[in-house]
Amino acid sequence: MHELLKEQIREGLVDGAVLDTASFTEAAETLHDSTLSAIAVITENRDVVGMFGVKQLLHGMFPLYLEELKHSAFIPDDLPGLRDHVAEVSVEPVTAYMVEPSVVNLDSSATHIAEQLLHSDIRALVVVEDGRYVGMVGALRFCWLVYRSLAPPLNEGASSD
Amino acid sequence: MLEILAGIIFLAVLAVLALDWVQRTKAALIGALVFVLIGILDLEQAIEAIDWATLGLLAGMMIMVGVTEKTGVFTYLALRIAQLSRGNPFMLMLLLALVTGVASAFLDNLTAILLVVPITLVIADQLRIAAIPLVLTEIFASNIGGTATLIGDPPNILIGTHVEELDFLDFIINLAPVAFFTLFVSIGVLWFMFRKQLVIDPSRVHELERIDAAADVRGNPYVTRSVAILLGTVFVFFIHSWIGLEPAVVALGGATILLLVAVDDVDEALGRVEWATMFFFMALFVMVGGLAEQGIVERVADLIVDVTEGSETGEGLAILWGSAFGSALVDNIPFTAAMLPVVDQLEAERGQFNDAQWWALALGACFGGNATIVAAAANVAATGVLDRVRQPVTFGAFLRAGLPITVLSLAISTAYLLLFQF
Repeated sequence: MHELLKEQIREGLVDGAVLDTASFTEAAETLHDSTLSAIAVITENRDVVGMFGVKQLLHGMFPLYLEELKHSAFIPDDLPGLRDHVAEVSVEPVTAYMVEPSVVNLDSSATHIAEQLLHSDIRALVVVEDGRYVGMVGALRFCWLVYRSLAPPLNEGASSD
Repeated sequence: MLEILAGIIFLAVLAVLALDWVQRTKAALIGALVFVLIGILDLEQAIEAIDWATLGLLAGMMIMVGVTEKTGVFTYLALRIAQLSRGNPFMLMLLLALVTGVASAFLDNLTAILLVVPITLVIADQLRIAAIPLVLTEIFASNIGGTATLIGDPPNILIGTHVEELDFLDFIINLAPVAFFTLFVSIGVLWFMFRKQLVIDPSRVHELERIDAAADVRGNPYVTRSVAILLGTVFVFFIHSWIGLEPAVVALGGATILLLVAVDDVDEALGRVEWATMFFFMALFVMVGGLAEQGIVERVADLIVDVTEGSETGEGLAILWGSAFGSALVDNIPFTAAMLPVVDQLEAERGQFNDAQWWALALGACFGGNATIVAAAANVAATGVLDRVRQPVTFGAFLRAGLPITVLSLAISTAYLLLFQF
């Protein structure tokens, strides 16, 4: 059973990473294409130095003060301002926006990964083997793969009725 | 031996606070723990040293302001007042400073600054002007405005709950005029300093008018109740000594009523209490209790009497400038907590109550809070927001504006004390 879950986790790994020399735009594109909620930021040696997720994308796209506001319905859209802002941000290095990575080992148990995902705002984890990046595990894909391996087949449930 | 140890530990904690080596609550708790562990005072004395009335007042106000803030009414008020400037940069600075000053006086200055600064960032962004001059002005306004009332600034809360003879109205009568006079003069000076950074492009003015100030309060069922209870509580503060209620009872009473009628999730509302601040105060009370127990307070009081040759006016001015200097170096909360028993001792030696000494302490500690970036909680909180939005203010940049404002404020306070109090 243990090996079965491990196999599911390996199967569910997604490649989602950018080099630490990437720009904000490159990171945003990779994040979008990965369909994950976050990607890893790695060195050429595949050492994990950070994570770049949807929240970091929002931080870059919109004014940073948004997070300080307790109310924001009063703010009108300022398209020229946002355009200028995004133009500035787009060429900045991803390292200026990345956050501390949430990392699990490739041989971690599914239960440990589930706990890490529950306690992470990012809902994605960087998976490493011997300290080097091997892929990303996203919450939804992880849940579905593990669930599918554990749940009885649909026709089995139907026949018992 | 214990006396020397108590002095060394307390000074070490103050040094750690001044240098910002560890978070202030941790530093104060370690100091208090060492005081108890080495027997400077025992557990019973430590618990007795804690002024529970101060903690009650703080907790009550934190809950009330936190719950009312959630309704968006303060955001609405700040925006409406900023819109009254109609894009005139001087009026914008003046009105933002005034709203911060008044909010600091009747809420507390830390809450006021954390409400106003993010809104200022939005306004500055919409008008394409620098936010830092406006935020610095608001920080100074919050420390000056907070001086006006018993509940406005932590040093005043400490004094107001410690000195039974002083009530809410006494603070207003004796401190509000000098505080608001100082505020207006300071705004003039700050405008002179920052005017070149606050030039507004006329084409941006309509952006301020486009803001829908009421967007967040519209449809909120608790706005009226929360505001009514907050205003009612402030009214009861005005008459608390006539009806025989301590300020802490008024604040906790207001908070209780608010919890009853305007709060669905009590856990969330009680989560508005800043426990780090509460424990910081507790630890300070324990250390100051230890200093008093070991006779250090008496020695400091004697030193002041010697230096001023027993002159009441000299003592008052020494307290004013000394507490401003001390607050500028460390943090005005521990400094005021340490000065309370010193002023008590001076009174005991003189044999009569003189409220002027307490006003000198309040003015010195509150206005001294403007000198450096670490001198008051409002400064640390507001510059922390600026750091997070990548518009950092350095220690030197803060000092260049804060020091002149502090010296100016103290000069006005000196004149006020000499003319009206001594």
